[in-house]
Amino acid sequence: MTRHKKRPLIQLRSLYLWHRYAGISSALLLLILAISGLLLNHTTDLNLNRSFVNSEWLLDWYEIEPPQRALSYATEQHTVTLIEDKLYLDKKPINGHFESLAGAIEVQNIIVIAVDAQLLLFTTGGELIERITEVDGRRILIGAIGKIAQQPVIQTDDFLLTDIDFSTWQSASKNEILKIGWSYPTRLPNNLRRTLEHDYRSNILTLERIMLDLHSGRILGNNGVYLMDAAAIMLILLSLSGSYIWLQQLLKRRQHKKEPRK
Amino acid sequence: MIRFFSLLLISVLVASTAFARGVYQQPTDFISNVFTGAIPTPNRLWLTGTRKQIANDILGHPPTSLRLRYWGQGSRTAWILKEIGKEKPITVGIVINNNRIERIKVLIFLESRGWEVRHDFFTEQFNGLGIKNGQELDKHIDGISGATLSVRALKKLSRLALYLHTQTPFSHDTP
Repeated sequence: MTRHKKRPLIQLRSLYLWHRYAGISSALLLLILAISGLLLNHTTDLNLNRSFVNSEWLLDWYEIEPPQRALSYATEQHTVTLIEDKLYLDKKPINGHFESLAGAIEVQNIIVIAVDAQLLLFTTGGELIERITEVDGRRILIGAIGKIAQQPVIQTDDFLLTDIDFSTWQSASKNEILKIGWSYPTRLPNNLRRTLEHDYRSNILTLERIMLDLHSGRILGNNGVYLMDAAAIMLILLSLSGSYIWLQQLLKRRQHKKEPRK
Repeated sequence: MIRFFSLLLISVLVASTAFARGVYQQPTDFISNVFTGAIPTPNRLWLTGTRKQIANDILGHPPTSLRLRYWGQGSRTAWILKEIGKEKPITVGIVINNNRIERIKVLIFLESRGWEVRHDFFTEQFNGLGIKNGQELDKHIDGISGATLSVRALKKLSRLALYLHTQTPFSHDTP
């Protein structure tokens, strides 16, 4: 009686070849999946949610538009600019989100910015001296800011004069009102505009977002998602085919050991 | 029924957290409660040179502004200070009397966690505390589990207020 060898359901050699080529062809996508997944697991530790991308082509790829709203006021030596909700003293961004800029003046080497119902006092080096939100215990709504000689003036429902310490406030007389040199919007110089626009765009797109989009494939749009789906399916098939090949070889080795040597 | 009660419990928990955040007292109201009669004119203290360095050591980062406003009368000073707990600022009113904390109150709390620090059972621990060498509090403060960063922020601010008080003419130790 002849012994019939049981043939495996799938030809091992063809499966092995498929496993090899499928592995090589999907290696890049699997690497992207694995590395981006690893990085996303440690988003906070790696500060990915607070690190921003400033590459022009990536910002363009994400269609991050230049800001539409820019308002600028010039003092003797400095420029204060509100771009969308970001405030800049020259090129230096000021912490926080802002809505409306009423003006800026410079008195005795202190820059006074009237923004969002508050006065921000800065040194000429850009250090915040003080944030004033109240006058005589009342919140202030500032319509405009100016100065008479070296005395700051703000327009609320009245014209209020103060000293450089901003400690005493008094109403300006009619004569004084006529002498006020108001802060008016100015045209932002082109080179400063370009710098600020780039800075604005460079603080929108986080590395975390890039990693998420790389991981899901959305960085390439809907087709990228299908590509990553294919990579994930390939990973499942590779793990199954790899296990199958290993199992077959294990069985083969055991069978080989059991067979008596001729 | 179980689902209904689970939903109710979750809603109550979410609502209690939401209501826990916010403005508990306006800073101006705090200051007017501290001083009987007219509120004294605010004074200013510059944080430059050594003061800036010590404030930096206490806070663990440079102070956000170079000039602080405070109110003083007799041997008392009142401060409105802010410090970030985890992500958002906690505004605290602190009264120092004879170089010791008379009162500390959380005025505005915007963080999503750690609001328990506003309760009197926690803030009363600070009453009567002073600073010893190295600008440390001279007594241990018991923390609150789940509010570690808020507790840390309040301890920093109380140390800062105690130090700043010594820099004012309202402190007897200052020449």
